[in-house]
Amino acid sequence: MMKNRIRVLRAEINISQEELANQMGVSRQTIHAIENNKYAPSLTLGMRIAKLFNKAVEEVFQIEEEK
Amino acid sequence: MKSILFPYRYKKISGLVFYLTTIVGAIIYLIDFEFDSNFVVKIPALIYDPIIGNKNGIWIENGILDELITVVLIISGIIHSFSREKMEDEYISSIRLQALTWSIYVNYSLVLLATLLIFGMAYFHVMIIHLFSLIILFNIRFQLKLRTYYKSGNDEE
Repeated sequence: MMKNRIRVLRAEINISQEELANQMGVSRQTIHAIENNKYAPSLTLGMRIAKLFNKAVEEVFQIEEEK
Repeated sequence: MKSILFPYRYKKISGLVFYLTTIVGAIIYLIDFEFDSNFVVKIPALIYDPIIGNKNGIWIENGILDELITVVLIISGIIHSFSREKMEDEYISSIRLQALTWSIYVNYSLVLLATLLIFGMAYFHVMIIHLFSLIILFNIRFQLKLRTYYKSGNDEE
């Protein structure tokens, strides 16, 4: 399962889901789904999100082994 | 990646035509409407059963209401299913794919069940319904999933 720190990183630079969605060219609902681990984004979108936060992809997204 | 979807502007009008044609088509079919003796016109036929018309070359006389409903329902259904959303993104593409997968599983499960349990002329009706069931199931599933999607996260910033 893929986990991510988008909500925390978003809070750090104080941008809303809507603002992040607009910058990524996706809808706010998609950002919401990613934050809640309901949807694993494509590599392209994942890399673009990481770039916006000025982080490496693995600092934003982590694979969590299922037990 | 190049999009093979129809423009968003076709979404609403095709949906209106699709659901209206589905309802009208279902009603006409259920009341046992005489398709072959109404709206009869001369049309060209590639292959035809001589029982249903005359044998003047490739021209036959045929009630066209069923063909009309079939063509309108399939075309509007495809356009409605595969029109872009206002904000089309990869998550919506994923929802569309999941809805398509689900509808193929359900549709062909029903066809298998019908094949094993329904015989004679009744099976002919199964085949008629099967012409449209996939696109109807897909549209219902996709629209319900989209509704959930658009409602998601409304309580968040």
